[in-house]
Amino acid sequence: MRNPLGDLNVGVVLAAVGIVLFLVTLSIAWSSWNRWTGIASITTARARLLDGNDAVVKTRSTQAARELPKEAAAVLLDIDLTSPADFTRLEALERTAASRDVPLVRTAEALSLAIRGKEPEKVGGSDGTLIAALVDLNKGSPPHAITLDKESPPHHSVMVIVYAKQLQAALLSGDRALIKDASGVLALLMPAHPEGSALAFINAILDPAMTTELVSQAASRTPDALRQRVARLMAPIVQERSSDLMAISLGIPSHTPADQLLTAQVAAAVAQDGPIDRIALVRRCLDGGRYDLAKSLLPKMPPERQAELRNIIMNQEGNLAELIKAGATDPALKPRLSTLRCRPGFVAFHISNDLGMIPKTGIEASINAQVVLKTAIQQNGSLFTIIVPPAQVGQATLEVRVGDTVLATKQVSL
Amino acid sequence: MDVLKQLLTYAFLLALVWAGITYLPRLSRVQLSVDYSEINVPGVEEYKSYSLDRAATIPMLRHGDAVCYRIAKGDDAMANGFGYVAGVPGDLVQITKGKVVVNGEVNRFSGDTLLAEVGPLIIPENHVYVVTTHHNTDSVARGPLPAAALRGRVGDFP
Repeated sequence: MRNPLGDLNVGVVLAAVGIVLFLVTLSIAWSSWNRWTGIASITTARARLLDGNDAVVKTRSTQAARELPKEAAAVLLDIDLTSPADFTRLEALERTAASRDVPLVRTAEALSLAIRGKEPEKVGGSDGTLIAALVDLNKGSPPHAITLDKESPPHHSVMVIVYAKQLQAALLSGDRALIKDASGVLALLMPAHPEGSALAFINAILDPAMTTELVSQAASRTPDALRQRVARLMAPIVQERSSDLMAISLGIPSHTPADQLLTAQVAAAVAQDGPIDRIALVRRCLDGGRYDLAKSLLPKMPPERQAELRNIIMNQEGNLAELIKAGATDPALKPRLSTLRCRPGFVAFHISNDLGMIPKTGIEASINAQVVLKTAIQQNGSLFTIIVPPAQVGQATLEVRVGDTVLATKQVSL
Repeated sequence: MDVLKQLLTYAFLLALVWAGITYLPRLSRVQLSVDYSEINVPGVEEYKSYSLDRAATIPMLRHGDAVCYRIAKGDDAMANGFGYVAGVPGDLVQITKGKVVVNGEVNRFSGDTLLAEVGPLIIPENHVYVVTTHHNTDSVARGPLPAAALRGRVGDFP
């Protein structure tokens, strides 16, 4: 005997199973679709990272993170490590991510905290070493060499962030070995970066095997503003190349003959404004005996240093007359007259200051108010001798002047 | 008549299987064209196609393996580059006297470079250092390549 109600029940059950299966299929299809588009977005974002198309990377990584919110690969692409809000997302991701991805998420958390100047939890391996170095640098500690473990290589992003900070700190400290280490790593890590040419320039400066021509070539591949900044920073650190670097920072053509380089540099330093190390340039002018060039730089010096530098230039020049006129207050610069040595028809004395500088522009003398002829005054280093005319032999008043300034007025027996 | 139909069906299926065996592997091949100038190795022919193992991931790569990688050409365009694996994660790469030196040994696949002495750099996780003869698009020019940039291992490269 057929039971129509039983058939109906079977039909209802089958329909229910069918609906459930349909819903399950729909759900699987929907999640598959999301996963597929999410992975496509990750792939596109990663591919666009290669050519530095940041706008597309941002759009596609945000899309991937929205579609795959539990996937570390998707969310990490979309995370801004400097943002506290994104740190909350990282904490959520740590709870939901696959166990194999959890160490990576923890590394990202530690890096985010370190970047924001907070104390992160300890992370193992080379990533941990780098993050610890970043924490130290953010605390203002001096940079130190970073030794990484080959068995647990670090992640690319961690290296870029930490070595960039390390390079900044090393440049400020002037430690050549650390600058070489950090700029070398960054140059190998991202040579195609917009500032990669500046890293190549720094490495060329630091490599003693690189000729001046090769350094100039590296400089020419660096954008103007960056090139001048690097040259200014590196000139005091790499003394042996300071002249070339000064020329580069001032935009002097590399083909300028060596004997015209200093003149060209001074002309450029006078013509340009901005932070140029003119003190070093003055020093080189003085070393080269080019007092005229050194003087032309004075108006461009900071006002509080002009008087001091003017005195130094005049002292080096031996222009005691101008030095005294300028009112030098440094007692070490003031010229002193030694004891007079007199004999009939002849007087001799030394003039120098405490620094051992002697007047190179000559002196003036008068005996009994009569000016001694220039030809009667002879100079041999700091020793001055005056041949006294026969008419003035005997007791007399000798006055020695440097310019308008009287150095000494003494009664002598000639 | 039915027997003939059956035979034709079997023949058609056999032809499909044969075509699959013959042509499917050829779909996974790459042709050396655009960036051929990067490679200067005897025996490498331009326009010849080489088999590509797309399943080869970074942990499977060894020093000296030939790989095909993506080169961004701007405007969303991508080209193929070919080079040799010089360094895998954890290797120390440096440039000394114009040579690429990996773990203290001069790499034989790499051409010389005018770069200053730099390094060592420890190759980061999930990256590979690929070198070519002319360094226009390889890791010397672009840095260690991430997994996303790798298309696969080229099987029958010299």
